[in-house]
Amino acid sequence: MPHSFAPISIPDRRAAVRPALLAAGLALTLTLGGCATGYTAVESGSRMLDGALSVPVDGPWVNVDFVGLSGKNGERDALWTLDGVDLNTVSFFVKTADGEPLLTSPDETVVFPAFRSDMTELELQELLVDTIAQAHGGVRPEVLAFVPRDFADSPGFELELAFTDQNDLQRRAFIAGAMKEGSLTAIAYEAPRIHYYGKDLGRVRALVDGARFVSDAT
Amino acid sequence: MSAADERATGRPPPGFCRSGLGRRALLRGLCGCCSGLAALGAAPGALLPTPSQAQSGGLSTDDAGLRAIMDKAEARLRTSPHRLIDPEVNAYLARIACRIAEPRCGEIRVYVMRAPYFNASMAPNGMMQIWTGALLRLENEAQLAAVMAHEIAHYIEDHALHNWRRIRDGSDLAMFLTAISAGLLAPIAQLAVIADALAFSREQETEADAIGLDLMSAAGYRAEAAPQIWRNIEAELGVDPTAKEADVFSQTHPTPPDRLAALAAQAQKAPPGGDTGVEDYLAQARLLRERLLADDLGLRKPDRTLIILERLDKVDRAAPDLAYFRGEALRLRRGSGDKRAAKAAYQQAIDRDPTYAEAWRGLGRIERALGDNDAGRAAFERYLELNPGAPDAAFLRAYIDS
Repeated sequence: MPHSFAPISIPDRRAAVRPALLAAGLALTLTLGGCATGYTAVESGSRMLDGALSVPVDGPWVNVDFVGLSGKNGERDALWTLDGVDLNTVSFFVKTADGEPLLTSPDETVVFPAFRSDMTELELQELLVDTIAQAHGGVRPEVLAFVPRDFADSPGFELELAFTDQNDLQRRAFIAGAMKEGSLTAIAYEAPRIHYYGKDLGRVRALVDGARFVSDAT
Repeated sequence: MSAADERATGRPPPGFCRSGLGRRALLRGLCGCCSGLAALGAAPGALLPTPSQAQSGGLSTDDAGLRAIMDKAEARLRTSPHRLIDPEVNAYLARIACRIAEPRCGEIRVYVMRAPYFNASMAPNGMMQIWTGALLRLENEAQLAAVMAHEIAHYIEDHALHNWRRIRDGSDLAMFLTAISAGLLAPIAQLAVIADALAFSREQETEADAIGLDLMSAAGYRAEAAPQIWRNIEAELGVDPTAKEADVFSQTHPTPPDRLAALAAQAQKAPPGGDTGVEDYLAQARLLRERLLADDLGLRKPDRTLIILERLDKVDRAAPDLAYFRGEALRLRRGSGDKRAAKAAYQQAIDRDPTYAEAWRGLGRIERALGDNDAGRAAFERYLELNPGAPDAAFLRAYIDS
């Protein structure tokens, strides 16, 4: 949101401005504070993520290397795109452990909620919604659907969201995942609502449906 | 120019990337500055009009370039999805602006932007923004008038214009034009870049506080409302250590205690009495409040949310939404005794309005958390009766059936 001309403001203003500029400059969707440093093609076939999740790849995905912030241990597990990070992304959050947020930020005013292994499904929904809200300037996304759905042959969930990013783009997202052995694994797809979200939805669903935990895949 | 010099003069050092927000947001941990400006640098000044394009109005001809920039930014802001459009609320805000700024009210346009932070701003072309985080925190119309009068004071005193002239006549102009010409920047970000370049000095903020209080008092509002805003802000900051650490305003703005002291002293000298406008304000605030509270809750600073709710509950007694969100904040805080306190808050919301569906959902969750699955099941059933199309209905039915 805008840096004010004449703020009657409290210090949280920086928290508001920072995500705005980050998103506006790079349109980074879930990658608050990240900085793309390289792109590599993702080969077709079965791809392994963080040694714990395999997914089937059937198309021209591009892996985006990031410097800056992101997932647990300071490294994003993986971020893929087809047309560019502002047009479509698939983010992988593999084995997020108890006490860890899905995203982290060097800006101490941005507080991403942390995953807990004792979360109920409804709390997981809140975790995901508020993580995305923080990454996009603070406005909570609209929950379109939150339903039980198996993920990687485990009981899981699927969450569908709608929101407007700091570029004023209306976006859609779905996040599918499951808790297993006390950690959270999820795949998030996000794209502008017009054209892009629907364009590759089938491809992403195939990827999600084919996801397997390693112990299951081998 | 050192950072100390910058603080002392309120003037940014040469070069956009080294100025306040540019440095903070575009260099710290990001590549936005380099890649962004490289991409944008091809057409510096593209938004500047020729003299014949300049509009007449509050700005003189030599400042028409700035007006054109702001008009273009406003045109984009007007259609922004982040703009909260409620005809009744918008008309109410416009009436207050006119009451304060008369006879110049025709120059001022007020936009409510959905952002859960306490902020308001005024552009030199008369475009005022009020963020929803400010509307949430205010208790009455007099406090809203204080915020708007402060912004109008900046406008009347041409503060942004003075800063623009400093940039225009100095070495920062090329960088400024490069930045604001950024076709890739979203309108909100573009406004942020412009605003940062034109940021007010501590002296200008102090002056706007003083003039603003005079304006609101002359318009018939109770002057004491202005310092009360800062008392409320201090109460919030007192429970949020991260906000204190992030206090960037101390560089260019009076600190909250300083502002509070100055405004309180001035308010004591103002004519006694005046309108407070509690009911009029609440009638408008209630139209937006659930969305605003949900956004605030999403910031995951439940102690601050609880401070706000406690304050609002004193002026809007028996409001079911305030009780419901108190339950939500307590549930998220997860402190000792918070589950039972949350249960009581949800129950209070239901007592206030038995058809308040979300309170039943909250009650169901907390009953389950407390181990009473039967009570949780009954609450979820009631919730689904009231909201059969709930997006999480499938999970709730699974809970009910389990």
